[in-house]
Amino acid sequence: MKQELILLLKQRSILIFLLLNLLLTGFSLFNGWQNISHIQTQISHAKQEEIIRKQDYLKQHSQHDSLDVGEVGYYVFHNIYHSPDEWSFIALGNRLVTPYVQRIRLLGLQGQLYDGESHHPEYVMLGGFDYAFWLVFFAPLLCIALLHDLKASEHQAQRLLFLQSLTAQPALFWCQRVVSRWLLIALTFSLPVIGFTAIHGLSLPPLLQVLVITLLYTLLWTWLCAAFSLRTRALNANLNALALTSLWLLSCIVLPNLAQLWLHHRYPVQDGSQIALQHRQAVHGAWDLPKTDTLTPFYALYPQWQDTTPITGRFHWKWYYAFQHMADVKLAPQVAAREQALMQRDQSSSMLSYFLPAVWVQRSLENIAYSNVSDLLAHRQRITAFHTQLRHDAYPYLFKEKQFTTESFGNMPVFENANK
Amino acid sequence: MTALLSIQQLSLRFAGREILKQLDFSLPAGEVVSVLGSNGAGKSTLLKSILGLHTAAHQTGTIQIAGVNLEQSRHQALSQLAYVPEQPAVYGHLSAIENIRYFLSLGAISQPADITSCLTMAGLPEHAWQRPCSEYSKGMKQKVMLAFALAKQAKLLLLDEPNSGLDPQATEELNQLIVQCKARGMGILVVTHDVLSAMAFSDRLLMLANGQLQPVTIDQSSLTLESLKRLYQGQA
Repeated sequence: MKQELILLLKQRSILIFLLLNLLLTGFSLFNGWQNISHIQTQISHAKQEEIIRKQDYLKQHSQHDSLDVGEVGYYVFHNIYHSPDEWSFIALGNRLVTPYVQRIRLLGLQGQLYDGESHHPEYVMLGGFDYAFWLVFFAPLLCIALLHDLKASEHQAQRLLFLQSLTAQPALFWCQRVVSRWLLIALTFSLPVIGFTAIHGLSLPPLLQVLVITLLYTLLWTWLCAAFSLRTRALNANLNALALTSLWLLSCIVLPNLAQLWLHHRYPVQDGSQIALQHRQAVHGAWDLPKTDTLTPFYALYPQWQDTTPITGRFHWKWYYAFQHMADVKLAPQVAAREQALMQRDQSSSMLSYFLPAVWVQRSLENIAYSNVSDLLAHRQRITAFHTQLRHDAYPYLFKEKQFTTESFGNMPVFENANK
Repeated sequence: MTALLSIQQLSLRFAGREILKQLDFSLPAGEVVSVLGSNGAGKSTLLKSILGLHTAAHQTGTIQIAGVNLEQSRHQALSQLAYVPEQPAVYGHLSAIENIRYFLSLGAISQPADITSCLTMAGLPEHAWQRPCSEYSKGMKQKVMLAFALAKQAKLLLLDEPNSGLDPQATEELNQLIVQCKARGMGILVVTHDVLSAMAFSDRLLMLANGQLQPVTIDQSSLTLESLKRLYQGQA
């Protein structure tokens, strides 16, 4: 094996390929890390900004230690953070297209949830330059470059017969040659990850998972390339390279995209902006309805507030927040259907990944990075729970007309900054 | 004395054509035998058979190398021989020493000879030992291959067209090297078209024609292109 490695590493073109891979793997990790650091910095700034903003509000609006809870609900925004995990840099996944800081207030949730920056569709399609991207797309190409001409190059150099005369077990000889190449490929992907873990003091279990995924994926492509280039008739290196590159194109680009198209067709998901629009229409429509049309179903849901003082004027905050919430209630089946469709897409994608190694690697790394659909949906659940907490905190002040003091303001719920 | 190469009743058939027909041959230690033959006569096929690269489905007969049956103990049999192909099989990006080390590692040679001594014996200048073989001439590459054979301590040497593409001086050097190997007790089988060289270093000349090996004698004083043509056509 040692001599096989010397033979390989003395070849300048192979050395350049391997060094380039080492460098770019390191860069993919660095780029992922930079993205996550940027997110963390933004979250940190947003936290400070939220504290200052709330203090300013308190200074400007508190009169005799008292505030209008309706106005607080309307004007005070609460930050929601989608904090990255320690290993999120390995696969940015959904974090690239979903907001990591959102601001919500006491109004209907579905009208606020889908606010966010729009992303360029081509940028979204390409994804970020992270380790998952680099491994999924480049590892097969490196395997093809190093293994497509195993037999063909020896045949072309008229060395095949000589080599066969040297070794009593040709299978063992080719096996050593293939394994030495696989080791070098796997090392150039693994070493930067190990180095990164050591430098940043990251936890080890995810590292082991990343290494296992890397080894398995590179082993699969090594096996495919070796099986193809060691066939009896695989004596044309160009033809081998062309066939294997076509396989790469098919299995890493064409089939995953076709599968995704099929999943989108099979499980259509309503666009978030459509839900936001319907919410807005329901809210606007409620202004023109008799108040009882809003409050009767609201009290049916929350009988604990039905004894509240009847509304006599044209406007009252409790009516306003009731119709905001009832718009959420009205849209709940659509929201549930949307989440269900997203889950079904994710489950089907998981099934398909057993047949599409590139998808399996991407999904597995996103699972480690907590950048997957399940994490996205769990984050949505946390937002909903926080919004419910906000409502339940404000309702006694609205419906029992308790005094909302500066202390009450200070005791308002704050979004739990969950890491996962 | 056990022959270093013993072939008995070797027949080989491909695509309905019988290339070797019940061929018998024996090569003792310290002898050089050259096999001549026209293109397509089966010279390379014979070498492949000796290297054990034909399956039993195509081939019948027995081949023994230094008393070891090739079919029964391929590894042990192959460890006794060194094969030098027509195109030197060195890796251009490795030096002479690295090439020999690599080839020895493939053959799992337990006790190889000192590589530098073998390179000296093969006549490769010392200043070239650490240079990549891509910078070598063909003659130098052939010397590396022969140095490998010496390092392997092979008893039997198979040379396929060793003088092909060499200038007269390199040919002369190589011929001398073959004679030195013979003097060390190696048995040498050479497949060649170079009749003059073959006559210079061979103890026996054989012609492979119609799947059979026939001894030939050539009178160097009356050697002409016409007489060679007749020899290859089996009319000598």
